Amino acid sequence: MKRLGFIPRLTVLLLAAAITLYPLLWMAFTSLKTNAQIHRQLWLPDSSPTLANYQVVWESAHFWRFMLNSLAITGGTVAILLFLGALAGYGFGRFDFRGKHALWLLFLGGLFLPVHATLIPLHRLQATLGMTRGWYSLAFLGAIYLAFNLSFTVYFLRGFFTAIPDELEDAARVDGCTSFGVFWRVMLPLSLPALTVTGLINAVMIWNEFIFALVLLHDTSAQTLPRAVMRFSDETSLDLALTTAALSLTVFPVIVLFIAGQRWIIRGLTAGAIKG
Amino acid sequence: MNKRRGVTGLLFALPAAVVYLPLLAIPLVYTFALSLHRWDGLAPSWRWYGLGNYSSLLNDRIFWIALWHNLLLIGVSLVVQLPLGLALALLLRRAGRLTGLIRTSIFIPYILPTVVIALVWRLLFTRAVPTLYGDAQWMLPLVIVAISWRFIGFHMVLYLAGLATIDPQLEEAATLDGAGHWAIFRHITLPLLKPVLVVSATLAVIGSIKYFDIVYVMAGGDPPQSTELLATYMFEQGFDARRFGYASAIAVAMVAAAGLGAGIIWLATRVRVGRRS
Repeated sequence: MKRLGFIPRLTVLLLAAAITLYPLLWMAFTSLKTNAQIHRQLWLPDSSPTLANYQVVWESAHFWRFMLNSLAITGGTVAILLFLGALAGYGFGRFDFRGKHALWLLFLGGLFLPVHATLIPLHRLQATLGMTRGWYSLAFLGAIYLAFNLSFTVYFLRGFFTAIPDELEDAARVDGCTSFGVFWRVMLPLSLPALTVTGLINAVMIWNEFIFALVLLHDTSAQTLPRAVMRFSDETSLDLALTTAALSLTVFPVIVLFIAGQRWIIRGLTAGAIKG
Repeated sequence: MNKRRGVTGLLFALPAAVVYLPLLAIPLVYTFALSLHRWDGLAPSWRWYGLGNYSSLLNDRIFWIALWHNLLLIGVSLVVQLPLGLALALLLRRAGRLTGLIRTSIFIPYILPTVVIALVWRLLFTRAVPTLYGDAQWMLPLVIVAISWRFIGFHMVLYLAGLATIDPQLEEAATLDGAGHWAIFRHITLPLLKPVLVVSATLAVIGSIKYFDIVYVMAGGDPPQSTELLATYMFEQGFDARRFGYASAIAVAMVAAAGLGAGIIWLATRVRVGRRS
């Protein structure tokens, strides 16, 4: 077998990149056209773009509200998730206690569990707690996101805390720190890179989540963006101009987050795989 | 490392456990219990049904169609997504200055909301291939195109990370010894990549068993059964038909399938390692 030369290799790669990106670019430039412009030319950008679709989606279809809902639920959940995850990661990584192994296995199991096995009971629990409407339903959804992202977060952070040299912790204890003091003043600042990685990955996962939002959000006003965009596309019978604008709005924050934190996100997603 | 003993560690793990166990572990037990009953969601109590839901499941043609479609998804991910991801990673390893840009472009679908992926492809397909979209024979292949589009870049990035851990001197030494590219790939690169290959295969198998979003949004059950998966069937039986006991039995079958899939891969890779050493 002969190795491909540099130019043919690059051609194949650029072609793959172009094929991958085209659906997204198509979505973006279609959202900047009127339906008349779309009718004239479906596959290429138009020379005179318009933001009219975005105005309709953002104001009349209340996407400003869905954007706020998504930002609130993602931001709030990730903050609590990192705190609880770091506490538990420190506990699992640097202590021994009775029942540790069993509890650890329970946390690991969450990495493989099909969420469908919890949909019906959680749907019932939501009704029992009377959290089916408005902000209550969003808060309940947030709690679910918290629980379902703990496995990955604790797993990742435990690995990080285990690798910290003993001397750092011992020195702090000699200085009279309590265990929580060591955690708060030494471990947490040290783990900032690991917290960034898990925070970014969790933010993307929570922003994108669909099936729990589908089952647990009932009000048309209290919806996250993925849930809202699905309903909106149905209501407009997949109107090309409006649907692509709503889709672009849903995607935009993720792309910004990804471009800003790409290095961290990829490192976090691949870290587990390399360790085996 | 000298670990500290006592109850302190448990106190650190407790807040997470208090959130995690009631919302994840307990519902799992609830689902298993419900799978042994019949319930429409309205009646005040469940009706005991023993293994009735499971025996109905075995005689349910649609359940087997759904399971077959999940197996097809597993097959396609192992035969198409993983090899393409590996090929792209190998090409990208020495792509020079454009490496970062190309890697980002191919990886980006993985981080997008699945709803967006499903709707974009739905819009594209209804315009580009209107006669195929909605055809019972073609729906599943079209859905698989969208799913593969999402995952190839993810596997590529895993393999790139794996390839980066391989010492280039190993391959250079083999070249000096006169080994061909294929021999180097077969006897050096591939064996060293094995841990990453196992991880990506495990993720692909378990992910294929759990699959829901793109299929639900792209096809929405039309034409009937053409794209049915275990997860969409569980969802319909539960939340549309209100057969919560039956839906729970499907969910339990999914958990069992995910465990079985992970177990088979684990065993298969262990056996091979054992034979070689």
